Amino acid sequence: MSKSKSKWKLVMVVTCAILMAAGAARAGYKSFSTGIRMGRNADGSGLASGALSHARASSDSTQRMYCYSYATFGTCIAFPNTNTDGIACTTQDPGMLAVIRSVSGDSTVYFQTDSAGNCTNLAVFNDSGNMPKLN
Amino acid sequence: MRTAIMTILVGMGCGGLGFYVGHHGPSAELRAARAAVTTAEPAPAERAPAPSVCVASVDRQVLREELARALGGGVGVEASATAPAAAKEPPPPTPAQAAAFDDARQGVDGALARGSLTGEQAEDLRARLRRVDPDSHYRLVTELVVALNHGKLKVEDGDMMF
Repeated sequence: MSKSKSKWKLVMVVTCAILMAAGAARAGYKSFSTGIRMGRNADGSGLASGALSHARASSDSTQRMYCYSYATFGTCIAFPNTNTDGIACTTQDPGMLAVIRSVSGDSTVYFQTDSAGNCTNLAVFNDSGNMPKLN
Repeated sequence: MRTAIMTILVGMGCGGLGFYVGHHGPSAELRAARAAVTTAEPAPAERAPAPSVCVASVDRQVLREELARALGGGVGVEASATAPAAAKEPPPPTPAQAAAFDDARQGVDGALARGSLTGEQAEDLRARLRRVDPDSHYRLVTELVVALNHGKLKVEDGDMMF
């Protein structure tokens, strides 16, 4: 009796392991971001990058990153820690506005700003490896 | 001998005639025909129309300008010359637009002076900024962005969606 029970348990464990391995193999590449990164110079210029969904899912609840646009200008803002510092840039450049408008909730955003707050570089990566925003 | 003398005389006569014709040019008929052709073509003096046409065009231009001035067209010409510059200038703001800008300006100045924005203040400033014209909106938001980038503005909950 005890032999058949232990056999049964072994079968269950092996089956679960196989199923889990199969599930993981089907899931595709997953990127694990380290969160929002920011670099700022003394003159106010700098850069920031991060995945919006990762920032939302971060356990520290202080990361925030977003972009918004109006008809004539747009802004991207990143807060590695909303309690301390952030960095942002604004632009009226049509090309950069188009990039801003391609941001989705799961995008990775990268931007650079000059000392006057103008965006000097802006990129958006829509990657399947990014964590989807769950809630 | 007689034949030789006759030959010499005839030769001298022909030579004299040839000399006469060659020296006095073509016949009267030929000269008349040439004269007819020459008069059909403009004379060298008449064939110099370029300077006269040029003078005439300058005169017309001067005349046009004078007429334009006399008829008040000169004002139109001056206005059209300055029209592109005038088109580039934005129209003056309406009193409502000016008031909205002053209100937003005060909100931004207050935030910059405090160096901080609470959630409530951000909500209030957002409402003010959305009432101003797009260009002023952009400039005011950029001022806040510069303050943030220099570490002179702390934003509660990172709410800077202006």
